[in-house]
Amino acid sequence: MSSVAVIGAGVGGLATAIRAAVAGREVTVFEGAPEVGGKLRQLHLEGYRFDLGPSLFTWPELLTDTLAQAGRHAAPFAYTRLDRSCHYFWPDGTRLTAWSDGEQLSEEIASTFGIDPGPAMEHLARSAEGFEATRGLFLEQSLHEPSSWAPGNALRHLGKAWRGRRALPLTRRLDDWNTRAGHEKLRQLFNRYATYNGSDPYRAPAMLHVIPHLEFGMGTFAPEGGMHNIVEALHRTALNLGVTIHTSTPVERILTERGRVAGVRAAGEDHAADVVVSGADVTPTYRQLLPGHRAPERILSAESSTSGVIFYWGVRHPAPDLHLHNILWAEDYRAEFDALFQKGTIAEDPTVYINIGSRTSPEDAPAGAGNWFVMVNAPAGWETHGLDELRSRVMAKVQRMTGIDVSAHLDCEHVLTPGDIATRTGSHRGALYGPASNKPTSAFLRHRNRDRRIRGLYFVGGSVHPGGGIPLCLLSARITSELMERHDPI
Amino acid sequence: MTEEHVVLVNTLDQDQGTMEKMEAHRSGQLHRAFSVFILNSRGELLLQQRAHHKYHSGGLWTNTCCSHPRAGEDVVEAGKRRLMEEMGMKCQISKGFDFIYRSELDGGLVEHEFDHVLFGISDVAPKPNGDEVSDYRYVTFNAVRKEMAEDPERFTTWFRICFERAADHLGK
Repeated sequence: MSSVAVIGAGVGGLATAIRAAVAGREVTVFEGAPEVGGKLRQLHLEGYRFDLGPSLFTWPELLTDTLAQAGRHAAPFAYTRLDRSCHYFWPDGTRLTAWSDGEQLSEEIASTFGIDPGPAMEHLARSAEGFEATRGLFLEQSLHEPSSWAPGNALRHLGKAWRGRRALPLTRRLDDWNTRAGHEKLRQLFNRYATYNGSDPYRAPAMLHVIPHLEFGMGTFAPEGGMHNIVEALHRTALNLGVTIHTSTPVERILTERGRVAGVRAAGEDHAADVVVSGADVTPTYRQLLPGHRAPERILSAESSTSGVIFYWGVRHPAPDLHLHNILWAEDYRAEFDALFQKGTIAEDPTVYINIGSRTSPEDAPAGAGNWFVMVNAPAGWETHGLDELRSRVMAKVQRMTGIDVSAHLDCEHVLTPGDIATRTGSHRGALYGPASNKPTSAFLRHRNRDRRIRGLYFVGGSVHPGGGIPLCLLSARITSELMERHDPI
Repeated sequence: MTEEHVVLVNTLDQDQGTMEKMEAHRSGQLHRAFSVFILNSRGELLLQQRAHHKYHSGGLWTNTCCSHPRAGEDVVEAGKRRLMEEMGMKCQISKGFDFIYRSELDGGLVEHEFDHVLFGISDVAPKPNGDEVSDYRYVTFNAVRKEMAEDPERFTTWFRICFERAADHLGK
């Protein structure tokens, strides 16, 4: 059992390739796109460089630990901690800077809202406590293996979760729970963390309150040279370890023989492999690569997380009020999620996220300009009509709330819609984080990392356990690699 | 020489205990470090060439000096101490920025540092310590940029990582 075929060279696929190669396996990665990176690819446009996907870097140890597995083959990686996680802009003119330093944040909350910051800071402390109580159970192991539920292990994790229940009641809704933040605007701010995995804060469980701790407690960071250097470091490390990577080579079939994987068919050619790891979205993996096999219908029919419409704008304006991460809030945040999840459309006045990577990587934009990544939440599968109208609405909102007339300073533009995201990355309906976490049971409805029926088949990446986003993709690679060593040892 | 210890930190630069220096560089544990950049009044950067027998990166060119603070020692104070020990210079320095990097070095060692970058201006002639430094020279930022593009292997890893950021910080 020594050869592994990995489908997809995204963060999950590359990280799994590294771990499998370190374990002594012969690893081949098949990527359909012309370049590696999955959702975390880059684009060069008229003197600007844009990171196309994730823009936030948290829990950096997961990346450096992955690289460190490779010993002397590890590529170098450098990053910087940020002094603030985000700048928030409300339609009524209120602005808040989320400082990384607790004291500074506490003062900012007190002076911005004229309130005692105590409850907000306690709410953050509950996020930390909840994170520590549940990480072992929900994030760092499989939820679907009998060994995870063996008495010793399960009792240890459940005991922790039970002791942490005051910090994180498993039965409450996130929006109710966030009333404890002590101010309506802070409740909204904490609600937004549900969107970090594409969920609806007004239905999601309070469990998602562990996410703020990643930013506020463990820190936000920026890779030197931009987000794409995360992919560069993984890619170079994989190559140094002797991993073979074929780009522009889409996998067409996962080959099976008597209930076990036999390899993959890619670009019309069969490649034998003892183990197959799909870093592709779980839905197309079953629907397209495994025809004739029984698919886990209950999981594949789960509600999708949100997608987005992303405008990449080269803006020749210094925009002094805007920093690396900026949120321009919707007038009515609840209505935004009704639109996304009930009506299947983008809100009339959507929350606008603006990321300007050149704030930390100045070489990514001409002097005095910025490489703006501007995103609004969109339902997965959103049919693109009225893109021009949406652009006008977003530009008008930016002008209203920051005073900048983007259209007068626009050097270049690129746009990704849910349909483009689906086509480019294979993610089902363009959903950015696989299934949504809108129910208390959602964690259990994410697909497992090891297939139940087909032996030798594994899953990594944003659509499977433990979830979407860079940290969880890296964790899924770790979990999957551990399962591979246990169930398909060399 | 007595056994030297480095201060282990997390990614927020919070103390996590100490570890013997060589052990930290073998195991690749994140620890606190600093890099000093001294410029003369003409705006030229003072580079040092590391002594050839140093435990890693010997013979490579790098910023004015770098090392690790001791337990409980302030990074700026530690920077002043090392500037005297390595380059025989006394100079006011201040913190510019910090960054974290992980890089494999020669001889099976790993550099994994939370690096504080410190800046100072001085026209005092260096009196380098031959045990630490084999040579020194003053160069413009543009000259370094050109050399680094032509032959990056002549420079230490951390200097290559933070050079442009330092240049940006100084408006060079």
